Amino acid sequence: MPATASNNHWLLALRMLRRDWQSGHLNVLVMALLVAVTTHATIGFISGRIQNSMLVQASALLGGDLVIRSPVPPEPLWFETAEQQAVRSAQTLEFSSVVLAGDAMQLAAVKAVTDEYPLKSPLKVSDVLFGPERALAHGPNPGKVWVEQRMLTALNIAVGDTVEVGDATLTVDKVLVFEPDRSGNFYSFVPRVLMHWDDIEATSVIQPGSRLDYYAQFAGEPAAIQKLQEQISPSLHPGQRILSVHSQQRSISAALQRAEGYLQLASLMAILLAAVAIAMGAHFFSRQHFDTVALLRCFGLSSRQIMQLFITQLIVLALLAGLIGSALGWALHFIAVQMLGELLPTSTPLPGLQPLFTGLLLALVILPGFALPSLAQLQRTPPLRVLRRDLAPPPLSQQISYGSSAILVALLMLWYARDPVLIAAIFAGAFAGWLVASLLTALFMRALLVVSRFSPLSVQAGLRNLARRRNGTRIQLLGFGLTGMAMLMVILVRTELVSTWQDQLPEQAPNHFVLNVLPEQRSDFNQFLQDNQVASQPLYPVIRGRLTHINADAVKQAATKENKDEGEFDAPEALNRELNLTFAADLPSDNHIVAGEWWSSNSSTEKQISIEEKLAQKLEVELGDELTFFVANQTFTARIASIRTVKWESFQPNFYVIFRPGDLDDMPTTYLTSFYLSAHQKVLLKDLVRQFPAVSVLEVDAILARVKGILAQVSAAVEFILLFVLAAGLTITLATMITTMPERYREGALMRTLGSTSRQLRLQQWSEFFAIGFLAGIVAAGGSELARFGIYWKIFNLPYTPALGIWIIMPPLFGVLIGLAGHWSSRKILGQSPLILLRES
Amino acid sequence: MGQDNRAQSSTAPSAEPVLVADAVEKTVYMAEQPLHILKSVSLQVQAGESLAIVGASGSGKSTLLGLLAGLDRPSGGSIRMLGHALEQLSEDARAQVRARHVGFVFQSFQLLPNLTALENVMLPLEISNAQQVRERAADMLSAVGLGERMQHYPNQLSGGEQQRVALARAFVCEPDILFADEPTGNLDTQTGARIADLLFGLNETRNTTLLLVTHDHTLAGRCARKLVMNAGHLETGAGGSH
Repeated sequence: MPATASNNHWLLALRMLRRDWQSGHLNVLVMALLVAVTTHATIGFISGRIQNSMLVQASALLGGDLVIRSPVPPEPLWFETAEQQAVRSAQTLEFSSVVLAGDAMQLAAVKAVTDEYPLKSPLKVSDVLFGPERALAHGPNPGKVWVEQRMLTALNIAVGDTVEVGDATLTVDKVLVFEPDRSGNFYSFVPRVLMHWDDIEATSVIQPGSRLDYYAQFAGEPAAIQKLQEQISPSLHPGQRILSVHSQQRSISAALQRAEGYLQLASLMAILLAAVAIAMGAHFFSRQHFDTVALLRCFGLSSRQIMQLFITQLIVLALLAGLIGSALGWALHFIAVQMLGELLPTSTPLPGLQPLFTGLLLALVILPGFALPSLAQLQRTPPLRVLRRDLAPPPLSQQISYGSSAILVALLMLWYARDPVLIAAIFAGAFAGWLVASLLTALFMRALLVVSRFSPLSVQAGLRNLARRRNGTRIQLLGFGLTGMAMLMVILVRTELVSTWQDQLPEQAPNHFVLNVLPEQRSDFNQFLQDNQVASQPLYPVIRGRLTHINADAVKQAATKENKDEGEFDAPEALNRELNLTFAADLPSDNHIVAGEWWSSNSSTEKQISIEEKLAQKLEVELGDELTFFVANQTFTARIASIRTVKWESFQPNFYVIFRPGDLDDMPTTYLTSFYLSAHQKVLLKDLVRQFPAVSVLEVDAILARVKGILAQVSAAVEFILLFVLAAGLTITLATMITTMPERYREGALMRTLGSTSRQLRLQQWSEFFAIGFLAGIVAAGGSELARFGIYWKIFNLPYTPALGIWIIMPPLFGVLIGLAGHWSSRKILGQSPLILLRES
Repeated sequence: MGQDNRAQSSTAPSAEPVLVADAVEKTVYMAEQPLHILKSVSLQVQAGESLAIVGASGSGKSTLLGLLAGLDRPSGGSIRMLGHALEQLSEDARAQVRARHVGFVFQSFQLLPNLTALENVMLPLEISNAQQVRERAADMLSAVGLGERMQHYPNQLSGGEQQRVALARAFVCEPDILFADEPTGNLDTQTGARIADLLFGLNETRNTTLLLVTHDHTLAGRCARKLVMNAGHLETGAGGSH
């Protein structure tokens, strides 16, 4: 008979599953699993969608989905390969050249483009100086150039005049207002001249030794781009570099990386929540099945058959929940996209289907994984329980159940995040939570005896309940505490990320840079701004210089180090072009000293500089090293007195190298500043240029708007995901609460039978749940602080500030929350006849 | 009716005993002190026989039932059920023996609360992969008078009705030996009497060996033979034929 029974176990398992489902025994487990899979899938789909959208925008900033920079003409084979794979391509060439108009001359950053340019978002131009803008999806025709406003003012010419670029004479056709893929600093000194590729030869600028930057830009389907990149990569010369979305746009890449980190964190928290809920749900499930198992064993099923029976049930359950949860996630992500509105256009490419499969896999791993320890206990139920109901299976070893769960969570997280630091931080937090929970339960038992003497009888009864169920109390503390920790982390990290982004680009972030303010014009210029009520940054002195030697080594040697490095940092300006040097008495407000000291007024006679951290790393220089600069036909040496960080993403004027005041005296100095102009203040620019013809105005509205758009989108996504994780956390709190109910029903019914009033019972419930919530709040605060410390330090690169407030807010808040949840879950005790309750239990 | 039963049962036993207990002992340790629950208990049960073990609470009768049914292992002595030496078998091997030969009726009914009456009766048939599970279970429920209440859940049934479901579940697999632990212990006298009628009626028509544990001498009196447990020892009962 048992042999046939094992053949039949599939059918029996399905029947038992159906009956368990109908009777509501599976509710908690199913809910926990569904929430886990749905959260996972929704976050997966949304982040896929957001990443697609951000890639679309970021690749517009880059000029293509794949861009290769090269000092020599790109291989024609690349473009042929691209064409075979239906990948569009364009070429640009950038070089510096002096542009002449009559007697006037101006150094220009010339860019020659092919017909296909731009591949991504359009250029913005106007037909007259400061005229209305319009978008164009092509560059100038042969024989024409489009130039920036400052070129026109510098050369004192208008649209329709001609300029000479090298040997070619070209007609100024339009004013170039916005170039989506302009890389490098926004306030690069040199104005842009855009010309057609076919005119390059006529200019005769391509000579041996000229510094040229070719860009091969490609746009197409991600798979084709990926393939193309794989084909091209092996043939790249040392000087040729693939530019990625992440490496190029400093203002956005930090935000992008943090947002990706956040999404990853939220997913991990969802997993942690699910793990807690499923472990508790499985524990509940197994306790509800002691009688069933005893009876089945009494009927003659072996422990192996019983294990098979339950594992089959779990697998079927996991498959169903995995499918339904993933499908729900797919549907919910559309709602999220609707909610995000314009921030995430519905035209954004649909995300990949990967979360569907990973959701299913998650369910298949997580449910049996966390339920197995409980099932192992279940299969050891003695059959004699049918005669003696007090016989229960031997309790699980805590090392085994906690240990196996922890290992499983670690493996899951590793599969998700592949970031050991993040996982270690979360684990440290969870471990701290466990320690706090154990310590609190131990302390609580003692404190209880003291406290309960002074409280009303009902409160005493509630608190004693906790003390009596010592083990259960610890498990609940850990469960609720970890749930609280997950929710708290997601809230705290989100708040800091969003405020960091808002600080980075406030409402009135400077949208104009003004360069070339002459020293004698300074007071007039300030007066002009003041008269027109424009608030600006201070005027920063700028001295153009070239770095020639590092500790007496010529920079050419140092430059070869740069070529070897494939890192994200790109400092060609520092090594090959002129640097914008400045001097300052005070450290700029958003800079931070990481080594050395900012100078006091008369500290030394030798020249001193403060250098930006990443440039220092790039040049492999340290405090005390000497850098030699060539400025206006003079060579001088300065010693590095400090190294500092710079917020490049802030749209404020910033400098790689700052000198001590006085060290650059007598050098040819101009000034630069930045300010914010609203749309209707823009007319001021005409007056400004008229009054100060030498200055160059650089409008960064479009780039600023784009960066702000991306940040807003990232913030909104982060908030949506926060809401989702919170909702999941609350659902799971309620679900786990339900698992503690049967025992409470019986006790409540007994108490009522013995004459307790509703008020007394309510007080008892509240004191018990509030106490658990209060303590769980402490567990959550401790765990989240430790985890956050690690995460900020390593992942988000944000300074960690302890959130002292949560220690005060969390315990009572969580106490009330758990109190409410408990009150809601146990309302049946007060609402139903004790007789029915006793009978049901 | 009890008298009739006894008369018929006493003629029924065949030569081969289905259950033999020899010097069975059960000792548990409470706070490291041995507690001797059963002290050298021996008995034989013939096929088709009905045997009652009576005794006060704590006399060890339920422990003995558990051991005889193979739900637990003795600390000493041997138990043979239909040729199987139970004390030598692992729990899983004993489970196989139970699956083949044994049925149970409990004082607390032990119905699964999440299954309907019909499903509760179907369960042992499903486990043994029997044919026509639903029909057989339904017939059995009709035989105990619950044909109209098959879709009810245990908490929708009275105590007497629940025990009828339990009887149906015990007999539906046609066991060789039926173990009953205080089958009327949770019921009032009248209901208890009806359940007893049903139990002995079914036992008679299906020719099952019945081993019953009770403190109710009236119920015990309806068995062919009666043994008395007292502080872990077995004594011959007043009406017994040991």
